[in-house]
Amino acid sequence: MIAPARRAGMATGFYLRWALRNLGLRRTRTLLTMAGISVAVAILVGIAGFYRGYRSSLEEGLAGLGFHVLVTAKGCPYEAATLLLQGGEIPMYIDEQVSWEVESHPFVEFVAKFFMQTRPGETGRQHRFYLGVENTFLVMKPWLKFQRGGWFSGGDADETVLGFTAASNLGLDVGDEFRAAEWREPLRVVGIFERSGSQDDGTIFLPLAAAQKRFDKKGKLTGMGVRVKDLDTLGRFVEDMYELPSVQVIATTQIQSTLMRLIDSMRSVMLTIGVCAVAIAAVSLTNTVLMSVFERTREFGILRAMGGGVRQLLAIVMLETGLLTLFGALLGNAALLGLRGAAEWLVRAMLPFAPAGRILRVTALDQTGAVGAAVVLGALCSLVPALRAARIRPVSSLRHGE
Amino acid sequence: MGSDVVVGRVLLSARGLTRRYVLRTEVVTALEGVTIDVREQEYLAVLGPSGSGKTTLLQLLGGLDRPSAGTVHFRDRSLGELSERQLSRLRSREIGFVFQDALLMGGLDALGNVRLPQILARSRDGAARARSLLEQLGLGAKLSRLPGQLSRGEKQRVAIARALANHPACLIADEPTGNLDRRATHATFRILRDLSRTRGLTVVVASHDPVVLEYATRAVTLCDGRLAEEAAR
Repeated sequence: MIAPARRAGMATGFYLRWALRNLGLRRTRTLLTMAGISVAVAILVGIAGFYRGYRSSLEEGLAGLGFHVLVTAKGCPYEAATLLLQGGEIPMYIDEQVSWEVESHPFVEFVAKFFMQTRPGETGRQHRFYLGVENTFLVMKPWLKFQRGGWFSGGDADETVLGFTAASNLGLDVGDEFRAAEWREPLRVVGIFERSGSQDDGTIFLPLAAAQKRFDKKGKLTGMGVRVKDLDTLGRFVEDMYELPSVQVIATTQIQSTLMRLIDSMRSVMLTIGVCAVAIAAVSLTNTVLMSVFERTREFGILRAMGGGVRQLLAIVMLETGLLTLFGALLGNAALLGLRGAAEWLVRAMLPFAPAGRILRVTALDQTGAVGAAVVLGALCSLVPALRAARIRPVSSLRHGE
Repeated sequence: MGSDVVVGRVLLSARGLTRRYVLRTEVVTALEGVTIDVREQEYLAVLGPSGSGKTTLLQLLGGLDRPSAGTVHFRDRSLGELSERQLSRLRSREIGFVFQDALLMGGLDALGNVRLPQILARSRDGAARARSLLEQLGLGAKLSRLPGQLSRGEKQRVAIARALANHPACLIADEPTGNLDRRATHATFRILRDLSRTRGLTVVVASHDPVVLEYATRAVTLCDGRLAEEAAR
């Protein structure tokens, strides 16, 4: 005699083993169905991870700029902002004296003037991103720490401070000379920043005046980062800046909301694709389970003949489908994690602008949720085939024609 | 016919059993007014050519199908009055079935196939009984073999063990030797006879093979859905 609890445990183990073996008997079909489910799960989890990653990276990138308002020359302010975020050249300049007007505004805490240039690297494959800055840069970004060395000795010194990645790519250390094809005189490396996870990691910093001189743009600025004393005055400050004739002004909050609106539109398209993938997987799953029930009509007939009840037959079919979706969902999650690097590269290649940092951030909650949703969907998909199996008459187990 | 046995009370009683099917627009009568009693411990052979109604009679006696007319009683219970759920329960605990092709579950090994009816019936018996049944039928060394790794005769013995898993009072076998060679046919009928004798099991076997007469205690012959002849030792 076996105790009821142990009997229930043994029965569950029995049904599980049987379901697994049945899936193993139709290996190719099982693998193909699992692949369909895993693709759908990977797409959905990927979309959720991308949206979160993009938003976070953008927020971090904008926060990493260290200012509230970007002032640039007339043109598209969003282009200027994205170029600033990912590193690029803005081929329009404002006169440095404009900064005096901005600095004199009562709402302003400080102004960080900068001069940006991009030049091809030695191999031509990678670009070098130069940023001419003043001491206010360090005030604006207090989180930037020196790994080695320190800041420039003067406003026009022939010195450079390198971002972590830039130093690594150039193979330079403090005290080394940095030579570039565009200049005769080398720059001496005086400092290297610690890794910050922002666009600053790949930047070659120069004193503002030295940068303007080397790129033959004396008295010119690419832009200014402005930090206001009180964020509540941000709107009024931006409106006041609109009055300046030669510049355009944009708040980082505007940049963020505009880029997120673009990404929201993109997410809608991606979600549509994801829903299509789920629908295809669901139809394929239903078809597979239904086909399996048809093929096993006699088997289910025998189960009925042996006294198998409707609920038991429903449970058998739903358990097999549940396992199929569970494995498919786990496979999809594993594939997404394994191919995260490639997926991120692909998304970056497709997007006109992608902020620095990880833009595919998959959480355990996303993955668990996707697995749960897949199993629920599997249960729903198995409902019709399971009901059909449960309705099979026991006479189906015997030969016909007598 | 097999040797004399003491048979007991009526276990299965059929009165005026008729089964008609509708095939497209045509009504086919598979069984017509069959009346038959099967007693406890009896080994009844149902003989007849293909299409004579043997399988239909077994389906009705075993509660797998419902008659168009007539009644079937299992002990004192009328099968016609039982719900589908009650019929399922009756089939799982009182009646064991053996089919022509054994029809084992491909995903289960020999032991698993015998355990299956126990699990379905939430039986209190454990794997020990299933193992013991297989050992008694000479399959002790093949418990973990999958159906594809067993011979036809071995599969049929597993099917018999499966039918006995829940201590049924009656075993219904539909052409159990249809796909077996001579030696395996004799072995199967002999096993059924021994089970009837040693366990007091009632056995109803449908077969077109007259070899069954060497083992059965009684035989009836069906022809065109009617009882044509009855013989008993």
